[in-house]
This record gives sequence, structure tokens and C-alpha cells, in this order.
Amino acid sequence: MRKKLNKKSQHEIAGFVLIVLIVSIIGVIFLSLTIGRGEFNKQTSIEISNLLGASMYHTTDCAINYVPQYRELQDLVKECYKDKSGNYRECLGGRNVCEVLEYEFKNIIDKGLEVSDESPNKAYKLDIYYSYDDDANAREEILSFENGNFENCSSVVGGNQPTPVSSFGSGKIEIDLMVCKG
Amino acid sequence: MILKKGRLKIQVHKNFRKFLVPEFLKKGQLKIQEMAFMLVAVFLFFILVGMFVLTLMYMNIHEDATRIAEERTLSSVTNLADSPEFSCVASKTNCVDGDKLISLVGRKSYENFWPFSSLKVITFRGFGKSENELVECNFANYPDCDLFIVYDKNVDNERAISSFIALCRKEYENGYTFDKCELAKLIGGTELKGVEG
Repeated sequence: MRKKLNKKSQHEIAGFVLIVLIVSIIGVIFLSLTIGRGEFNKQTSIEISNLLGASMYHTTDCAINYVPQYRELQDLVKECYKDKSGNYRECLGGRNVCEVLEYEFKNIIDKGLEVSDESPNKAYKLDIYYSYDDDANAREEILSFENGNFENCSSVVGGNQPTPVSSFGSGKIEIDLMVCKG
Repeated sequence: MILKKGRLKIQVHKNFRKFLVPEFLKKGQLKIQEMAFMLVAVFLFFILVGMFVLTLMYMNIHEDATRIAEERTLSSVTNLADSPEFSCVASKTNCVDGDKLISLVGRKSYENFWPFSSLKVITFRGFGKSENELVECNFANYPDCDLFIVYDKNVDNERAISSFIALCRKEYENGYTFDKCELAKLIGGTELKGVEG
């Protein structure tokens, strides 16, 4: 009789452990799904894409052929790519196009995002590179700069702006901007 | 008379040691009690878990609704830049013509034309300045100014959504006319109804 009772209690303990295990597994799956969904929301931002798109039309003070044929930022991006490819380009007055591009672009992004530890935008990183159509992994670095520290970001939002180099080219210039939100 | 087991146990419960109660009946009672407690505990546990899940889901729904509403306002602000009243003559997307904009400043007739409680544009030189420092644009000081106020209904509860645009105008130099563009912010305000200030 006692042996039978022991067996029954053993069964009950085993059942209880099984229930605890099932509930724990369900909880872990639910938590992982919830956290995973949070990360998915971080990626795209219309605001950043608009910033990049609008800044491409920004007129710089760099004229290459004559004044007042001042170049837009998107023209300077292409000119800088040509400069990096060995075809030296400079603005009237002797300044290098890539230097002007970096100065103007940095000024626009700094003022547009108002990056500081106290503001909602804590840091940013901008990459300009040439990507080949036939090889998604191959890229040629054109220019890169950043401001602030990518630490303790509550989220990271980003935007991309593709710029075609020419009608016959096999690739395009892409501009990536990642912003650390505080 | 045939009595069911359950009824028997209830009868036994009422006996309070007055009569001898068979051992197997006491055990049965305990088992029913155990099961009842277990059922109540499991029921409460699942209710708690359900409430926790519902809270999390509701939180996400609320966040999603806010995000979608903001994105809708943002896209309507972006679409506004491409409307004929604002768009640049050159085929540029997300571009506002400054010369058109200055002629729209202060026109009350547009207050009911767009679904915004206020409509403003901050120029590049106005970025980083406080509201008091911004120089309001008019025909006299254009383009050396910071803020275009197309209209402002001055509502109490307003949420402003801004979108980056290119603000272009015609310039004249060395006998040539050219487009001078700069980064700017188009700000659309939406009245929050049912929210106390």
C-alpha cells in the first residue's frame, strides 16, 4: 500500500515538473518573440531618408567651370568619386572637391540633426561608397565621417540615398546615414 | 437506495468524527480538495499570464498606432512639398520653391485648404536657433530670414511634425540666373483633439 502511494506521489511530482517546464518554455519563446520584434522596428526612418534626399540639392560654394555654376552636393559626390578614381578635380580657387564635400556635408548633417549628448540625436555615421551592380558585397569607399559616440543608443535609425554615376555605369554611389537616438 | 460517491463524501464531511469514517473516503476528500486548489491555482496563474500578455500586446498596439499616425502625418508633410503650391519648377522631388513660399506667407485663405493647424518652414540659417531668435520672413527681408509662417491657427494642443526639404530660389550673379538650394524644415502642426493641455 505504501509503495503504491510513493509511486503516485512520484508521478505527481513528475507531472508538476513537466507543467513548470512547459510554462517556462512558453514564457521564453514569448519573451524572445517580444524582444525580437522590438529590434525589427529600429531600421528605416523617413526623416533620415528625407534629410539625405534634400541635402543632395544643397548648393555649395564650389564652382568647377565658371561662376556662378555652383555645384550641388550630389555633383560634388560624383566629382569626389572621379577624384578618387585618379581624375583630379578641384573647385575654382584651388580647393579639392572631396575636402569641400566633407566640409559642406558635415555642416549640413551637424546642423540638421543637432547632435549632442542632451539632444535626441546622440551620434551619427555617414558613409559614401561606390557599389557594383554585379557584386553586392564589393564596394569602393569614397568618404566617411562621424560625430558623437555610438554608446547607450536607445535605437539606431538609418537612411540610404542612391545616386547614379552615369547612364552607362555598372554601379551607383550610395550614401548611408546611421543615427544613434538617445 | 443507491448513493453516488460524491454525495457520500459530502455526507461524511458533515459527520465531524461523530461516526467512524472509512479511511478511503477521507483520502478521496483530500484528493478533491487538492484538485480544487490546483485548479484554482492554475486558473489564477493563466489569468495572470493572460493579463500580462494583454498588457504587452496593448502597449505594442498603442506604440504602433502612434508610430503609424506620425508616419502618416510625416508622409502628408512630404507630399505637401510636392504639391503645385510649393514645388520647385525644376524636376526636383521634396523641393519647395522659396519664391512661391514668400507669396503664400500670411494668406488666411489657405488655413482651411490643408489639414494642418499650422504650417511653417525653417530655413538652413534658422537651424539651431531658439524660437525667439528666429527672424520671420516677409517681402522686405526675404531671403535673409529664418522662418516662413504660411499660417498659424494658434490652437492650444498641437503636435508638430517636421520633414526635411530642399528650399530653392532664383539667384542672379555675373549676368547668369541660377538655382540656389539649401536644406530646410517643413513643419506641419496637427491639433490634438480630446487632450487637455
